Amino acid sequence: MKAYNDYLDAISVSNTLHNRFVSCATNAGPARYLTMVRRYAAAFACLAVVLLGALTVPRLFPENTLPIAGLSQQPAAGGHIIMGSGSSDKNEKHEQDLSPAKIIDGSGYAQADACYPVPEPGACQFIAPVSDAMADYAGTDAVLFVAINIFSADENPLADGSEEMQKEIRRLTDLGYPMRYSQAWTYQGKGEQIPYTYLSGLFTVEALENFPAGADYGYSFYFAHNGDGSPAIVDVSAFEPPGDDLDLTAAYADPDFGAYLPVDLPSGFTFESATRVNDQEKNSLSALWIKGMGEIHWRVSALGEDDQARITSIADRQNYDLARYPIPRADSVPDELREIVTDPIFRMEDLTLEVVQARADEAADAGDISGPRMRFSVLYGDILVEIRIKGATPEDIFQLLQQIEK
Amino acid sequence: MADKSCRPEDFEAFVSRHENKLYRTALAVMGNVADAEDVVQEAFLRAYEKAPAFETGGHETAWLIRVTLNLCRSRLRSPWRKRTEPLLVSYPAAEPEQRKLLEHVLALPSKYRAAIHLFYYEGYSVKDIAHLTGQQESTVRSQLTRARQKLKSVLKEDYHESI
Repeated sequence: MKAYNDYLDAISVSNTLHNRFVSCATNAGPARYLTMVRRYAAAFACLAVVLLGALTVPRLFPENTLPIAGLSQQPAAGGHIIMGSGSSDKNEKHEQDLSPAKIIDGSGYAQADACYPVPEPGACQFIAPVSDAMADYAGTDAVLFVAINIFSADENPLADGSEEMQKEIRRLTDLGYPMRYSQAWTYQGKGEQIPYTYLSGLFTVEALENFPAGADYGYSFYFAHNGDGSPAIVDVSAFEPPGDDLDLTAAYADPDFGAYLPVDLPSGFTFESATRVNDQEKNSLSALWIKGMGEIHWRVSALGEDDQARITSIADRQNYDLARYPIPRADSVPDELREIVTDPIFRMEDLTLEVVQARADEAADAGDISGPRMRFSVLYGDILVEIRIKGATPEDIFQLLQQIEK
Repeated sequence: MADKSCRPEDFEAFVSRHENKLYRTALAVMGNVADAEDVVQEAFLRAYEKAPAFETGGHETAWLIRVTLNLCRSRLRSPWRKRTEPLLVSYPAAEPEQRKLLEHVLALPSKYRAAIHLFYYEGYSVKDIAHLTGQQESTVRSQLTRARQKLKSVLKEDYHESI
């Protein structure tokens, strides 16, 4: 191994890199402090989110304002959303066509590797991956899922749930910039995953460029990541209009979609929640069963025009066989197949156990259950069943899908 | 609650003391410069924030290596991690023999690379590596054996070295 040792001996840290190591650690005070606060106050934050939701959701959804639309990759009926106006008059609203909405998160964008000063009051700061995405998707209808830090004039972040924060969220919401608290996770101690919450939004590039910054605050936009560097999951349901919570009996009894819910769940999975949404924009039934950290998430809706592109024949294995695409998939999946490989739609009459097995991604993350994760959709006639699975086997899921013979 | 803060008064000297070791370790495990730089930066950031008390210099080094290895593991787990320029492009090998060896080493699974690096380059014992990586000694020994089997063709002089 002498050659190996000689090779590494010849590598050393440059002055530039040395300065980066030193300055990033010593200058990262406020942002890191915020992270620490979030980490240790995660439990409190979760509670605060629930309370906040209960208290403020009705105020965040004025009757004549649509929340973010078209985010489930369904066609938005009207395809319009109220977004903030341009810089000419930031106190007015205007409608912006957001259909079809393609959601861009941190996938494919490296995490920020530089330090940033706290933005000055009245200013917006787009951390490098967000600014890259803005450049990539400028002039399109793509929607960026971004996390937002809001800083006061003394360079401290506004505390989640504080009166000042609520007031600012309300102001932005009234201007057509709805925001929600989303959740990601970070590591604590020996690989323990703990959740943290952050303020988030779904905005087009144009909306971000015209963000109605308040004169008293600085705004920093970034892509949130989990502790292992994976992008934080877009919790679309948080941006969906509030639906009706159902018990399981009512969910099964739903005349439109109830028959498409599975009945005999794998051993140990228990019903957690179900939601029915039926308004101008969406018409769907969602149900969730859990088993510890495992989950079976079922969402039933009518097939939309935007979904058509993800329908695949099982003969086209390049569209869905994950074994063909080694991790990291940012490198291995061709750009033109990214969408369909991420969430293909199969016709039920074509579906086989082998196909379901081809969608299983083995995972062994510390702090989470190991075993397969699956994401795909199945078409029963013109009814689309979208499933997200963690902790159940392909055999279990195939059986569940076969229960629904239409 | 957080441990008592023992942040080094001269943090720059602290960085200088450890940066090359951590950087080379991260390069060996990640196999590219961009990820290695990010990992080491994050390791120093954590050292700055947590500022744990170290009994000895060896303890300090071991803590930093452990954090670096954990960060490497976390980053490698991300399915959508974007690979950048390979290590040998950023730092070309001096000779064909060296290049051949490096290509073989970098083709190993990352856990093997970590074991190989800590054993051969850093000179840690199997017991030390087990402590640093949080694995059983038998696991480390097995990783080294398998790694050396894979490197058999290019590791002539070391192959029969005992562990």
